[in-house]
Amino acid sequence: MIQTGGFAYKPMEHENERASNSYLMSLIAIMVGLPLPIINLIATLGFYLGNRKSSYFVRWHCTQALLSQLAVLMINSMGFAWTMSIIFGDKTLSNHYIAYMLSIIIFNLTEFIVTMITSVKVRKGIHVQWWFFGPLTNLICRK
Amino acid sequence: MVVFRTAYQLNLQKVKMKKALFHLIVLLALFFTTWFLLSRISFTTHFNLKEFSREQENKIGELIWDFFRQTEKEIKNDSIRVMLDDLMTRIGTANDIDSDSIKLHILSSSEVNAFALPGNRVVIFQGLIRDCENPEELAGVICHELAHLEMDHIMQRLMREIGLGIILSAGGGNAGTEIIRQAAKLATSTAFDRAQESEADSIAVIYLNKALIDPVPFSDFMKRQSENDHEYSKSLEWISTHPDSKIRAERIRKMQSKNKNEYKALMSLEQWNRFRELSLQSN
Repeated sequence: MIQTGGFAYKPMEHENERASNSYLMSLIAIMVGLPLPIINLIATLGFYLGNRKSSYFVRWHCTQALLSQLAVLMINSMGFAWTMSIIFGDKTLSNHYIAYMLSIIIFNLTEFIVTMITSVKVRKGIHVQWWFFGPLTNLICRK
Repeated sequence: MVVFRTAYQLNLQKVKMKKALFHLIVLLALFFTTWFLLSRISFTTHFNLKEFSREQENKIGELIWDFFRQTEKEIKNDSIRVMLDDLMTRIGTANDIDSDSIKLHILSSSEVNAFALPGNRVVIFQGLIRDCENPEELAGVICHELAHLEMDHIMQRLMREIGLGIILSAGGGNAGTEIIRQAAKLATSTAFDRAQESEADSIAVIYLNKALIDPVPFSDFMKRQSENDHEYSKSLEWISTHPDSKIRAERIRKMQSKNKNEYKALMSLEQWNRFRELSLQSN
């Protein structure tokens, strides 16, 4: 799920802190009682925009955090829309719905744990690449 | 040298892209496999979710029915009951519907109306029986309401119009009374959407055919009611809340033209007249 390895250069202490904070943003949003995925995305996006002119290491991790939040937002929004259509619309409670909700809980929990691990590692200056989001960030983020 | 470097960079970009794409496919496969495997578990049966919702539906249906019982008089006559039970048994047996679970009520009202309520209840107004010329017409209306029950249109409609309040109302209280009043109004005076009406018509024709009851009188009834200008025309609720009755009547006839069943009469003319007489006398 995550790969650690060397970065193009050895980041400075203040870069580690900023990069680590980009992951903490989404966790903090949940901790302060805002579980709606859009809030996490807004928090991460705000942090990403605030660090556009930072060093490559900081920008790289801000981008990875933002992309992961986008993916979570998509699957969570689908779950949210499905739930609303059951409560207010004509959809009924089904095995497919319960299975989908359990799947998104599993993926959200995994993402939460991976985010925490990444935040700690990045704080120590270790470059962490996530499965899919790492290679995608490599394609998007320019030096 | 410059050309070589550009080609190398492009190649590197391609490799990165392929890697990202491969990871995306694996992640999506992982997500959908998790979803698929979890959906194999029968949660609804395991946790009795359907039973719970059925229990709620019965409670809501009972509350709405209590509301009607307080405002209108229910006609209870053993002869009428036997005739209606015979009709329900014939429809139920032919269509794998547990006719004993359907509670059929007749209310003393001149309104030409019939409606279904949650908890397998079908309510017919006296006025509708008066306007039916033969038992097949009445059977058509009953089958239409049974189709609404079978497809769960009523709960869907109540949930859409009233929302979660309808479920909470089952818990009782003053707020619950107001919600039940709204639900009762909705059950009698608001039409289902066109798609649900068409679906209920189609299923009603299937039910009638399986029970070897001619669906053409059902079509005739709707057509006649839409053209009717007798003294009760202002209270033709059942028709006015069901849009495009003429079109629907034609649609039923069209559907029916494909069926070549040999239909069996529901009851003799004498029995039908007796049934109507008893229903109207009990006013």
